[in-house]
Amino acid sequence: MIEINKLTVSYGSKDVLAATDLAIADHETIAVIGPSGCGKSTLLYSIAGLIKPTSGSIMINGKSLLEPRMETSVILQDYGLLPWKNVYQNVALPLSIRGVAKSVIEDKVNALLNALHIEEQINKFPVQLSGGQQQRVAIARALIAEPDLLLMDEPFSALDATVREEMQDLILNLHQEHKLSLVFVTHSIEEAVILGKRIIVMQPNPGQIKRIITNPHFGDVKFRNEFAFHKLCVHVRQEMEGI
Amino acid sequence: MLSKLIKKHQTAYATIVIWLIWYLIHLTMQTKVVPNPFDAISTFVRLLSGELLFHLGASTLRILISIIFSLLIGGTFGLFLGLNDRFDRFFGPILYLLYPIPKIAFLPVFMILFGLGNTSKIILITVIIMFQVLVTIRDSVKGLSRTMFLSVRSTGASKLQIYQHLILPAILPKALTALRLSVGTSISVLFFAENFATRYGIGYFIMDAWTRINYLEMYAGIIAISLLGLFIFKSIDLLEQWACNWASLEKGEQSSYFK
Ligand SMILES: Nc1ncnc2c1ncn2[C@@H]1O[C@H](COP(=O)(O)OP(=O)(O)OP(=O)(O)O)[C@@H](O)[C@H]1O
Ligand SMILES: [Mg+2]
Repeated sequence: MIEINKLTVSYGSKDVLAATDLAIADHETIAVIGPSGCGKSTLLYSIAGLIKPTSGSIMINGKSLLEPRMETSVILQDYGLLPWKNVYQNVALPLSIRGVAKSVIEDKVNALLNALHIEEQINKFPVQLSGGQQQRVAIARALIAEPDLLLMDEPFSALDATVREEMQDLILNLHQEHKLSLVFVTHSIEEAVILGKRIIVMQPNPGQIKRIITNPHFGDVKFRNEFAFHKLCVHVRQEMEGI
Repeated sequence: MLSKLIKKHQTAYATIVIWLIWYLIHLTMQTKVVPNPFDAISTFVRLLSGELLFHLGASTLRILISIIFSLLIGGTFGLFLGLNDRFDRFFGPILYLLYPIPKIAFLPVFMILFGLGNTSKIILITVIIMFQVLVTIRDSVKGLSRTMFLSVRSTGASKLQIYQHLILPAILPKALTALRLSVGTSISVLFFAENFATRYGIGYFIMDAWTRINYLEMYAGIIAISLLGLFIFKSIDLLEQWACNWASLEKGEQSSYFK
């Protein structure tokens, strides 16, 4: 359970995020959408504990968030993979940092790489991978620490349409399987509607939540091809254009 | 076939070509100033078991000590300025002004302040390499992407772990490149500085042989200083291959894009 209370983030005198309230239930998925510069990344980084709020607070499971949590994983827009570490070392990083035993790390990394079908890339470096493979490595690194909260900042924006859909399905499956909460930023209305149980539309100057749209069809398997899907997309678009 | 062979034995290949050219110049010019390369080499080998080794050792030691000091000092300050924008705003402009000044001009000053012996020479070379290392490391730290920092920090990494996993591996190849660039300069500077107030060092040896009009010994000295440079370059290469093999994946593909 995440409770965001009057969260304000300012740079200088400019409020990038103004008195934002939001509650996120366990095992929920939240899509954050809105025009460029409206504070989506700022909101996400705040929930990650990477940005200190100017005022207001974030409580996660009843505890005040003061620094990055061990149980929160973040996937950033360009994945943030380290070029000097190979796939294995990148995925293992969160565990090596926590001082987990080598043999435990090895088992977990191998299991995840298999599950994500990138076991053949294990010794490659990020520059030697395709965009979709890099994305999978980033997902593996995010999942290795068995998080209860996964945060993603435009994770699929660099991928082409087919790989993108594949990744969206993968994330949906992982969400079901691992029972984690998911908050992600996207520029794509379709993606917000596919992956978001609730869709948060934000507006700029100052950055704030304009509307929260509940998605009644979330979790339907063949939802992507249905009329209701397109109807919801149009609804979200209208909300965004009304800004 | 041939290009493969050359690629495998680059140093040997280059040595042979240079010797051939040297030999051709020797044959065509017929002057004592360009002696037969084989005579020069045999003189080099003969002297190496005595006097020359001593001079070579002195120069090598001066260079190595300077490299270590400049990496420590330049590396520390480079990291500090790269990670602390506020300080860089004060020091950046000063560095910018000092950077292009030929530091060798300060040799007299250093000799007055730190004596005529080793100290002033080592300080001079340290200053030269240090500037290059400092500026390179500062800029490469600044160039690290924000998302890389955030993603490492989000794993709960401590400050020390951020250095270990992010900052140090990122700057190492850049630091080695800076070293490679500045070591060439610093050997020339050492050669110059060793002509003042010292009786040890390869620079002294070469100029001394020259005044004695012993060209074979002079060339033996030139071979020695070349080998010193080669030794340092090769060591940097090895270090790079060992520690930064990832960095080579990103370069060396240019010619294949250009077809
Ligand atoms: N470090 C910073 N210093 C000053 N201003 C910043 C900083 N980071 C972000 N901002 C400002 O905060 C505002 C919101 O930024 P944010 O990155 O949250 O936007 P966003 O909604 O994620 O945009 P995009 O869709 O383009 O990624 C922008 O106007 C940006 O200029
Ligand atoms: Mg953003």
